[in-house]
Amino acid sequence: MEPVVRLERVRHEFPGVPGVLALDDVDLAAPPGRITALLGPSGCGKTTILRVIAGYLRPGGGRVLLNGRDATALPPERRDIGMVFQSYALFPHLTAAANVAFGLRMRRLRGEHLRRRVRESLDLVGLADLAARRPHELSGGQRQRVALARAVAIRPAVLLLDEPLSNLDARLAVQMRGELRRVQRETGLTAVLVTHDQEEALELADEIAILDKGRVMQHGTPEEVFRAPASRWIADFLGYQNFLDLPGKGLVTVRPEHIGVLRPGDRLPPDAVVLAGTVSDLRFRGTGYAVTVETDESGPVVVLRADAGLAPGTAIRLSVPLARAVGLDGRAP
Amino acid sequence: MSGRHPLLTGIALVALAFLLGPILPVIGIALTAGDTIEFPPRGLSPRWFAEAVAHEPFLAALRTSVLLAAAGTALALLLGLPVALALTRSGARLRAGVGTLFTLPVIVPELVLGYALFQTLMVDLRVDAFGALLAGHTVLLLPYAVRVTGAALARADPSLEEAARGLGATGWTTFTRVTLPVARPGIVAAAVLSVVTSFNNVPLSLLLNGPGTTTLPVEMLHHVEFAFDPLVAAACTLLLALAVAVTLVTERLAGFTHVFGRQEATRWNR
Repeated sequence: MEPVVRLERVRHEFPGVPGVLALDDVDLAAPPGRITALLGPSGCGKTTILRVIAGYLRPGGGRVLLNGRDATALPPERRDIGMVFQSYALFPHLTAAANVAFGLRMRRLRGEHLRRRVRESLDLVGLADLAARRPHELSGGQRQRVALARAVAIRPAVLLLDEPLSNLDARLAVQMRGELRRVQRETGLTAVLVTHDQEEALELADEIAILDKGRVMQHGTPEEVFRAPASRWIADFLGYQNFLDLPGKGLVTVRPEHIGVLRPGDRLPPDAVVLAGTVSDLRFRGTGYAVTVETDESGPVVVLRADAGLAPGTAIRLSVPLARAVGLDGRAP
Repeated sequence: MSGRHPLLTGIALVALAFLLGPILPVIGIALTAGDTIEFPPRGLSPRWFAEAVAHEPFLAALRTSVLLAAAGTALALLLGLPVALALTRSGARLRAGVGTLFTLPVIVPELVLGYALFQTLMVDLRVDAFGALLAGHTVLLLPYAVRVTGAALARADPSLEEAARGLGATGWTTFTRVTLPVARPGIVAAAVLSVVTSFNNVPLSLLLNGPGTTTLPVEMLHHVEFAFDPLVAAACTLLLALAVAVTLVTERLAGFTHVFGRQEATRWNR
């Protein structure tokens, strides 16, 4: 299917810093009805991409296509976008309902049509009762919902979400993920989500583009990206800890929960590499213990254990199943 | 005041007494039934208020003052708001530099400014007195217009205008529907400050007056020089009532403390 948003070789330099690229030939496609997450550390260019899609920033080079039409030169007001800002950017002088109505009025909706759409949008986020409140009379979570309602009310070609949950406390943010997902499903909108939180991206997105230094490093479904990170940097960013240089396999990474501990007398499992080492650290992680083992050949390796039975100083052997080892060599750096 | 330390309340009362102390006798003098300035007053009568309100030189001067304050404020805001907008959107260095430039009229002695304007505008360019007065007052009020509206604009979320554009508003619609309403408390505060400043000004108005264009404070000053009756005391009392009225109306419209004191309030309560 034709992507709703397509970026073609989009380049941008930081103003006043010639030679340093904020966006370095970014190619990106956001398929219809899906949430595409732009995931990366701060300064990777993810928000810059969102601003280019919205039209707040004119890129130095390349093209922006919205529904197949070249929108590179279009001002924001003619792009049909719904954006949820990190700060929510609710109009402080208007009520929740008037905030939601703003974009609809710009689209010449009046009277009963206008009122119905405003009510529907506020209903969608469960805020119909608070329609008459001003932003300063709403909690952070409620403001977030109004911002979402305002963006979806205009039924935009694309919904742009700029770190929408980063200003909420952790528990509320997790709860709002479900809300966001539900609203997107119910409206069937195409969305582009900017986030630095990999959990948020994994849970919300249908597709993830991982960014670093203004470049797309990897693009795929959450499963593809998470199960097969394309480089050591991406694996690192996604929270992989164990980087091992295995003979014949090159650089691989293995998740802590997949590494086994061999007891004396245990038979060596097939298709596994054995690493000898000494326990150096033990940390309680809620669901279990993260045990750091200083291995003789491969440096520190973290293993996940259910109990605290491995005291620091214990000499042990680890078995690394090759089937679980994700190769990082021979891919993009 | 409630809930504060008693010492703090005491200091506040002393300060209040210090501020209001010299003013109260003026009200007393204005209420006299006699013909001369006396305190305590000799009998009570509203006759001097009636005389002040009917005193044609005062009335003419009041008309000049009101017209000048209104026109000066309007001009200062018309010039100052775009400057404030431009400064809000510019870099920190430009904002500091140019921002300082716009506070200069507060620092330059008004007599110097007045004399300079008198020489250039009235003597060299033969501008009439009202024109020169208007120019002088506009310059005087510009710092308030730039600074106070600028403070309101700086407090606003810079994403607001982008949000409006994204929702389909053109640049102009964004300005009228979002930027202006958001800056409104600052604009109201700047307007009130400007009107009061212009109305109270003496040095500029003293130097730049001409036949038929004397402002009320200057006219009252002239009267004090030559007459020894309670007429000026009565006029002062009426001006005081006007100041109180302005405060109350501002409080009703925009919230006086909201307009002037919010930054301070948050700073102290932090």
